[in-house]
Amino acid sequence: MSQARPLGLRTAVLCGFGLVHVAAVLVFGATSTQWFQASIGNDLLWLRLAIGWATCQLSLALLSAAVLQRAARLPRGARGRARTVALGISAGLHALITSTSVGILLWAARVSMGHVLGGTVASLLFGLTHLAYADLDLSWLPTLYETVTTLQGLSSALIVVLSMSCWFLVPTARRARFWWGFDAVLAVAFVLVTTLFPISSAEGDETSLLRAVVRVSVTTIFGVRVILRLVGPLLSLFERIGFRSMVAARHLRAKKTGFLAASSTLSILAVAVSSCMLISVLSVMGGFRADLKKKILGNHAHIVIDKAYEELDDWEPLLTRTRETEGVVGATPFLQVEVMVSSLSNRAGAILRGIDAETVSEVTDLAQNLTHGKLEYLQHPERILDASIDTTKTGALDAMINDAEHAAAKGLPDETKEDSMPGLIVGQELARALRLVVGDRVTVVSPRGDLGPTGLIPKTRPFRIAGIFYSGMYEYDMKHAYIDLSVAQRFLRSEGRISGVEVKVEEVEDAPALAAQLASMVGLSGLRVRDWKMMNQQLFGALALEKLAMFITLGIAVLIAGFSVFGTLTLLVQEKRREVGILKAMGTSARGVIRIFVIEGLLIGAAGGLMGLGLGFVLTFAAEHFGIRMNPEVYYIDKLPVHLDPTEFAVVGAATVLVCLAATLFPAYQASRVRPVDALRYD
Amino acid sequence: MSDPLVSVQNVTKTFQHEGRSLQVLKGIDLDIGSGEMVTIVGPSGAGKSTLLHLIGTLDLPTEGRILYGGQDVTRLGSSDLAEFRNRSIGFVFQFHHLLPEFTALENVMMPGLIQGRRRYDARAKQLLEEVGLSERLTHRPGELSGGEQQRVALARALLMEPKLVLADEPTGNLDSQTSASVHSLFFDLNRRHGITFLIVTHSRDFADMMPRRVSMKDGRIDSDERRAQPLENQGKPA
Repeated sequence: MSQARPLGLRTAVLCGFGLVHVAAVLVFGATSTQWFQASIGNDLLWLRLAIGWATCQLSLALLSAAVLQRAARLPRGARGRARTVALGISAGLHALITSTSVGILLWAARVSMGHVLGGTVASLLFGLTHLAYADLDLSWLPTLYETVTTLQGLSSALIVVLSMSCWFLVPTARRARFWWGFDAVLAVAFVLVTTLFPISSAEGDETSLLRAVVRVSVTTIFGVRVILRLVGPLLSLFERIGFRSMVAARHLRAKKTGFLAASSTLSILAVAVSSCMLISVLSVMGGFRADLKKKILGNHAHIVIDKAYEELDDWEPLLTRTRETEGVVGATPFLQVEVMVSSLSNRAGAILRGIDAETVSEVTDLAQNLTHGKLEYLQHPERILDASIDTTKTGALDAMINDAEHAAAKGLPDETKEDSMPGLIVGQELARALRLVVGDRVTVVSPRGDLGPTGLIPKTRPFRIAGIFYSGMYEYDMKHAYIDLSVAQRFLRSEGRISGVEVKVEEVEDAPALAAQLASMVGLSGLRVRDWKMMNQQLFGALALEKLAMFITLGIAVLIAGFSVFGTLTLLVQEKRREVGILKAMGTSARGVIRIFVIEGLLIGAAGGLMGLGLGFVLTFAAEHFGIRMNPEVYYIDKLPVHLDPTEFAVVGAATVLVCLAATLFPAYQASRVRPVDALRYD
Repeated sequence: MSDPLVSVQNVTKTFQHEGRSLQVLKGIDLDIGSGEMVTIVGPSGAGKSTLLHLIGTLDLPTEGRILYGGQDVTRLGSSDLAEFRNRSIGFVFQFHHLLPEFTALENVMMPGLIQGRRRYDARAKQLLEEVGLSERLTHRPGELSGGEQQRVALARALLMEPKLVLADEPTGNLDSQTSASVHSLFFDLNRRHGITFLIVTHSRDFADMMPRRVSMKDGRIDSDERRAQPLENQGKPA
């Protein structure tokens, strides 16, 4: 194959080097500043880094010159000459652009060493953030860097594309040998990472995260290679099934005319991308639902027994009976009323809940959700001040305030401490709004006041912050406050009465059934029993509707992919008209012809669908295990929740195959109508 | 003469072209006996190929009947017709019409595969050997010469042991030397296996060799000559 000569050793090295270079740009660009943090304080290290980088550029430039020189000696019109020249030029340009940017950077660093090194070197090198230059009179630098970065990105893309197209200049035999080597290395790597690296990362541990990412990446590439290797044998196996599958598989395997080949590749890709998108979005929405459910179930009881308009009087027997019911894990009484909480700086409305600190942990996750303080402070508020410094994990300012409080409390007479204020636990957002820390004093205003000369006077009472919780639900963290049940009963003038009983069950999905059972048990005493699904019906209803809407919207994308399958098959039928004629002349029935083309369409659909689902699985798996960070200020979640549901994978797969099946029917019918006489007459 | 293999009775064929009807066959009557070798000759547009297609059930006549052993095939449904074609008729076309994605062996086996049976492997190999292509089993049509392709097509036509093999200008696309060897193959097969051939040809040499020659002109049969030639002289130029 003298035609493949343009790819000499130099071009190969340039391709490899260029790709490594581009990969380096991507990796460094994406790496957090942390990587370079070490070099900030170390000028020498940083200088070495810059010099190393510049050396890379120089060698890239020299290599591209060598390739250009070689390509220039090739005769015009030789296969691969154009792309080799283009590769040489773009690699040269890339080197030029990058080295210019590094040069300007070095200069900028020299101009204002102190300022620049205050930023991060990664941001300097790649101009990702412009903060570092904010103080400098180098306002043009960010613009220049934006331009340079864009150019760099463009030339990187060019290098990747050209390197890949140069790959096809290599003789087939040599390419096959390369793949064998590649696969062997990959197999070894796969075995290594599977045995050595963990699949999921430990929280906050960068090394284990990196290892898990490497493991998933290697496994994915290995899987792709295995599948690619299996396609041939699988199709051969498929051919053995029967005549129709044999013809269908051969049609797909056969070298097609350029347009049809592109069209069938594109339709497989279209099916793959759309089904991948569908499953990813559904997984994320499922993740939101699972997240919400977890939070709701953590904060709320699974079942609440209460009365619609009044409080419960004689509740002890009810509590005991509820606890004895099979399937119930725990039950706790509560008293609830809306109040106003005011601190020194601010005030806010809240739902005040009197809870039984002894049993509340049986039902909700309040104790685990406390980020500051302890549940026991509700009953022993005198311990708050003694301990607040130790338990407060917040910053220096909080510690200072606590210090002051502590000192102030120490100065108080002992009897004041004994008769201390009762404790109050508030949510994180409420604490933030009222600027509260553990140990602070707040006043709670209850609507159930005393009758005074001018009418109803709201009752107020001071409380001390005993704890701050974070539930993960904004509504909850903003609106809820907890106090001890007995304190609440006294404060709210509901001695001996409660609002209701909260129940936790063993199996959350059984809650509705158990609720019905409890309802029949408590009889017709005016009590109502509601389970969590009933209480959050609207929320879950809205989520389900949203998910359905998403499924339909993205399902339309799959449908459009189905159109491309339709187009490809119509083209294929046109191209295979003569062959259909031959097959019919030899005695293939119309139904047989239909089946052949339906099988072809299904193969395209199955290939696309499998690719899409596989990619979707890898994406959602990675998102689930490595976490995609989200801004908690905006979304109130710190990472994107993802929930993989096998049923959804099955449904998306089935939907994809169905759409492709529908897309095949008409072209297949058209093929079956080809009359052999017409197909064979004109040649 | 015993019951003919094929009996074409008063067949006409009219094509509609841009609103005008064009009568291509104007009443054909033809009987072909089992084991006969018949050629149809005539000028272009005489309706030779159309008649061949009708006899091969690739198309239906406008009027008239086509009987195979007394059975009127024009009344069969499309899948029955496909089944009938598969079992009873072999085709050899001017442009071999092999399937390009399949090897020579697979092409020959194709009628058997359509039936859904795989037991034709040995027979296909034997047929390829008979047409002199035992070395070319795994070659694709694109890798074979014109004569070789036509031999594969012939082997394919013979796979199901059909009652009748129809050939439409089988050597119209080949040079004279290759044509001659394909011609002698036809005679050879007829002599050894008693296969009935109906061949449309423009080749004067080939037509002259045939024991029965039907001339067509303007949609009608012009003449039907039988030549009493000794059996052993068949296949040799007179």
